[in-house]
Amino acid sequence: MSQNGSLRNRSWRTGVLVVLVTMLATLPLVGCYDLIELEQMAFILTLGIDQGPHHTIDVTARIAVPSTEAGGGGSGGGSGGTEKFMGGTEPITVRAHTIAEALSLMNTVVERRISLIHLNTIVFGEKTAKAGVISYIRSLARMREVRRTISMFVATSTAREAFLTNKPVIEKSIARWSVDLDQVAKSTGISLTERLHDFIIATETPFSDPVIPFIAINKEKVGEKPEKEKKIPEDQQVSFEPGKVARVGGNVHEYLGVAIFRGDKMVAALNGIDTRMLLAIRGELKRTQMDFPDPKEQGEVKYVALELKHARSPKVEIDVQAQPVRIRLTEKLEGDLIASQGETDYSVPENMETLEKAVRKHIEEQQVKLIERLYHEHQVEPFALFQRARSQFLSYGELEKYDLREKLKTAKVELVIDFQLRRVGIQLSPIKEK
Amino acid sequence: MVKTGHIGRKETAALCMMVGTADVFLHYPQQISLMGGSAAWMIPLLSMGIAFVVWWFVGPTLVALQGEGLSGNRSHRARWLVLLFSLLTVGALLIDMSTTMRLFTETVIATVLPRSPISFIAVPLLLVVLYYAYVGIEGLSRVAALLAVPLLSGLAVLLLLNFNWVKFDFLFPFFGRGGVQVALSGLVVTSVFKNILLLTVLGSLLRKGEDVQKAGYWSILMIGLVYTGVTLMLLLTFSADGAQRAPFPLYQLGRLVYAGTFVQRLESAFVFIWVAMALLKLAAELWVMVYLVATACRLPQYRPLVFPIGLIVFGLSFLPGSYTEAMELNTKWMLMWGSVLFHGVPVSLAIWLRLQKPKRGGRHEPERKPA
Repeated sequence: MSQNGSLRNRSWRTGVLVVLVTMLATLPLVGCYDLIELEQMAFILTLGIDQGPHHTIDVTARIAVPSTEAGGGGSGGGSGGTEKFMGGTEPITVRAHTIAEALSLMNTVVERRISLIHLNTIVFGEKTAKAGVISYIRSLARMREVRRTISMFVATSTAREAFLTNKPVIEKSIARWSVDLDQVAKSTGISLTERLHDFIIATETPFSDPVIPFIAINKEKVGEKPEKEKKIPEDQQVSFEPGKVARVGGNVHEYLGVAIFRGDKMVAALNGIDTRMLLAIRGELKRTQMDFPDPKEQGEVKYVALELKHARSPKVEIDVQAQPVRIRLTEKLEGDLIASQGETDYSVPENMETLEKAVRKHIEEQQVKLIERLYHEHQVEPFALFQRARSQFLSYGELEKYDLREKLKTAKVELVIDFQLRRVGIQLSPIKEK
Repeated sequence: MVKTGHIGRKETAALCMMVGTADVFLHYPQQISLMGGSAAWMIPLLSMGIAFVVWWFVGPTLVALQGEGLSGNRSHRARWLVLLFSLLTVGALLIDMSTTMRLFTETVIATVLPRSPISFIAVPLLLVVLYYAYVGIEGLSRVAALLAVPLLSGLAVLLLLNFNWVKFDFLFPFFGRGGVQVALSGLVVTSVFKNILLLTVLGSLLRKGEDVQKAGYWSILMIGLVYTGVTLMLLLTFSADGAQRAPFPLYQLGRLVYAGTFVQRLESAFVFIWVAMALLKLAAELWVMVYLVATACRLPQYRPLVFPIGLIVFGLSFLPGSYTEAMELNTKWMLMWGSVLFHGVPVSLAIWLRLQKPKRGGRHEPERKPA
């Protein structure tokens, strides 16, 4: 009896101890020190950086505005599952020396604690991009709240203006806006997606230079005339230049073209067509639609539209020791005929071959022109071609001794484009009028 | 002789693997990338080869030790040698455990809980470590065996989810910082194979001698593969230039996961893996320390030592003034020179045991109540 009683007492005491320890353990383990109440936070979704006077920066932010659905947001304990960010505030700009200081100053005009944990886009003004962005990138890379997966853009004017003029046509959520742009860039190929991680890696790794897509502000569209008076001027040509697309309506922003960086400084701008060529050379062209002059049509200019994609990744051969450096790039593309204005029947093999030859020549010329322009004029390497030549160096010592910028000035490029038309859409010969 | 019970082969291998791989969540991959550049992935493979050779030499000796333990019936001189072995090992483990504890708490503050005071993280960590060490090696090794597969699978998932960032060109130049530098680094990084030291202590606790050897080979293989995999993925995603600037590479990889709109921001899930491994490593090291001290002092129980030694470790962990100081201390003494002790001691012991004829039938200790 006494032994049983003692055992019972012991297990009872152990039970009480376990309960007490468990209850006490919940105090530190829930991490209340780092408690964040959603209702007390202001989440910056897009951040803009412009160079200010006297070594200052103008930091512009768009903050998510939570709109509470029916039923209320609730309180305490990190609830707030009913909150949805349906839009953003008007842009707020503050001048400071650093991004961290800017966020503190921004909190003097925003009543909730500012946080970057939901930041998804960062925009640099063009002037700032040309002056160099490394100091801002260094700060962002060190911040715990900033992820390397955020998208980057360069605004063709200032970042603040880009924020002020942005009026998405369909999208109501500022949080989804940059995700949408990524998708559009993938499908058109006239813009691209650059994440902070890509930019940092391209900046710090030998043999590569970063690129950032443009948010182009069409100056014609800012303060437009009333709807009825709108029309495209007769003399305005088709344009893929950022900010100069011939159009009526839509967002003031145009998402096409890329800024080319040499190190951390923007040195050149590519239009939408060149961006496609850049992606094709890098082997990152997903599927894009391109127009080409119809080679079989004489007289009036007619066009054919093709949907292009890589049949396989481009093959690069570089002789880094040659003087000048010789690059041979072989691309295998394939495509579908999606539109033809002329009368030529491209289901006929001879015609198909003529079209293939014309497309090859056209792409080849454009790509060689682009590579030579960026290599010879700007000595930049956004194509990642020389990355493939890293295997020709045995050690980092050899790699670091190689003066890439100097070699780019005279590099010779040979392009071999293999293009094959695979399909002709859902019609064989073109419609003939009686 | 301190009685601790017996542990199984799988459990031993799992625990040894945890002790060896826990540091992969701290700054070790960064240091390896700094040493080897684009060829850093070869360093853990070379180290693994060296560790296999060391174990090939040490392992059979431990089989011969079976049933006796380090404190077995030995001569007076042998006991002094065991004392010296124990002191050296305890010293090394004190540095390793205290710096790891500090690095772990600092990493948690820097990445997950930035506003928490350091004691708020360090004290609960210490309490759990003390509990595990107090419960003993049997429980600890079973937890390790239970968690080994989920933790390794989680680690593999984390690495694979970063595949969209991979650029194979980052593995060139093939010899990175140079062939000689890579080879020398391979020798240095052997220090991550702390499992050899652990097995030297735990070896006598396994029922079968062959199990010690198998556990050793398996744990060396797993540690080598984990370090190689992590370093490789780090190089492929960050390049050697970026990898050498990432203080918590696996956390950085976790934050980089972006496989579409819905598969991102997953690092919180990986924090559990990281915390579990760190806990097991610290608890195992504390247990080894108290076991060795109890053995050296010929104490029948190790448990009374758990709390005081745990407190010493806790106090030592606050000696470095900052995260970078703790990192430098750990790198300098544990990563760079750790193998001298972690492998030097077992090898010396093995040489001595091979030279000595075991003195059987000496003084007999009365059997003591298991702790």
